[in-house]
Amino acid sequence: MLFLDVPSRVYDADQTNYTNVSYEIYTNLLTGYNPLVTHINMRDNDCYLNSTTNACKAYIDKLASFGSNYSPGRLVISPSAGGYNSNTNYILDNVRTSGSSCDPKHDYNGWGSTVSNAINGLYAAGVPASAILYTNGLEECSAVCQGLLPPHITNAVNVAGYVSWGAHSTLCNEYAIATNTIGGLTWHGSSAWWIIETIESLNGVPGGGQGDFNMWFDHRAFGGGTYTSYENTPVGAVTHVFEPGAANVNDTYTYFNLWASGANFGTCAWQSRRTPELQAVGDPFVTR
Amino acid sequence: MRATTLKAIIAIFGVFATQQVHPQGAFVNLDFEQAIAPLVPGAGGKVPIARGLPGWAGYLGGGPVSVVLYDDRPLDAAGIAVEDRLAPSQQIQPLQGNYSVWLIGSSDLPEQQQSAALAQVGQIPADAKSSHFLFSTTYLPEVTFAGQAIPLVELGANASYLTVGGDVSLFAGDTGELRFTFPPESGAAGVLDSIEFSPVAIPEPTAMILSLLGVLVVGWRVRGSVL
Repeated sequence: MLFLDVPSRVYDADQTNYTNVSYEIYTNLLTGYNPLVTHINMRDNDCYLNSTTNACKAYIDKLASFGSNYSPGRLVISPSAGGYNSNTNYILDNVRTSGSSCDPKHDYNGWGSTVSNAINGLYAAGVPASAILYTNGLEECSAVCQGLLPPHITNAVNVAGYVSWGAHSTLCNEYAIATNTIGGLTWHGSSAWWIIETIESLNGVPGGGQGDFNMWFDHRAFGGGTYTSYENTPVGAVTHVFEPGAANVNDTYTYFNLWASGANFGTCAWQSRRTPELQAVGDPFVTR
Repeated sequence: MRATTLKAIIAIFGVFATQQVHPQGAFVNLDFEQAIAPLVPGAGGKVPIARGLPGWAGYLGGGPVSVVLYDDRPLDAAGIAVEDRLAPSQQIQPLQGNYSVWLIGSSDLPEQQQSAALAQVGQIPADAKSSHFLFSTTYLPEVTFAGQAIPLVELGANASYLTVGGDVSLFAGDTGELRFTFPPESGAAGVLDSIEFSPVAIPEPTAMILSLLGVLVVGWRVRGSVL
């Protein structure tokens, strides 16, 4: 596990691209082993807290709390097996930009399977259709930021997993920390133990101009202005430290299938990996 | 001793053989059909440019690249990708034949403002008056020869692509670098294929307008006679 201030990426041989440090460890450090390296390197996005370790501490406190409450004495924390099992809903938001006001760069019309593949992954894991909240659609690039209106899913209860196109839709980049009055995502109920993936190339680079893991683990994250004390932060996230390519973001079928099947987060993140740019954020020894 | 020397000679020859050295002369692989199959993507879904786009050099942010994406496109960054008709995803289809190349400049994100470019040094045929290529969008690249811009005009279109041309008569017989550049934030992006040089000149704008008017008049008369 790589903590705060451990560099997360290095230049490749071309000096035109970055590779994640955890991928280098995964591939090159040990002969015969490919360790499932993850990061606990989140910071609050809030400028007043960004230089602190509060978000990291809050994440570790969450692990400690769920560990003692639902998996006492065990290495692997499995809340669903210990009684925290009402978080059953998977939010799959496939709304993305495309249309006459979009240049080719922002036209993702042909890439819908990137998100929709998660549906079959969840079915294969035995998740009922009633627990899969799926929305699909195309938005003009000229549309106003913040997904205030359907078809984006901006409110949900009992969240177990979430995927969206983030800044490649009218969710724009601050969907995780904005208040719900301007389209921020708001989770309710038992939504303290879930995993996230977004189709954003720079979601592992805080300040990169898109949604990123600092926003996802911020004290206000997914609270819509109501929850401001890390209540709804995820327990695991897959991100990229540089452009992965549209076909090389984590495979949503595998990522959500494994999580719903009870695999640990380290396995979910690395088994679904398709790029050296992967940065998995979270404790590897947690399951749903 | 002789075996060692022989191995060294073979090794040196092998290095040169894999460098895809092309003597200066005619441009090569202008239709991108000379990819060295099978293209098996490595880490990150990339293939060596020497196999995917023989004869061409790729640049991101001005720096040369040794690998390019395969059967893919970047989400945000500048990028170069080989699109293969036989590739598994089929998300982006070649315009003609089995291979095309997708190019894109970066978006306006602060992290990644880079241009993408594809270039090759060669000699323009002595009788060439124009250069044509196929392109999948109206967001055209900048085309230069030996550093001088070639203004582009749209010569035709179908449902899949535009035919785009430029006047190269000033460069006929010259050797220099032909470069397609996709600047950051310009929106320039699309699938490029079938670059050709032609002894036929690009129609003058006035000639094109007169031709178009002629077609419209004929069409109006035909329509009138039918009605």
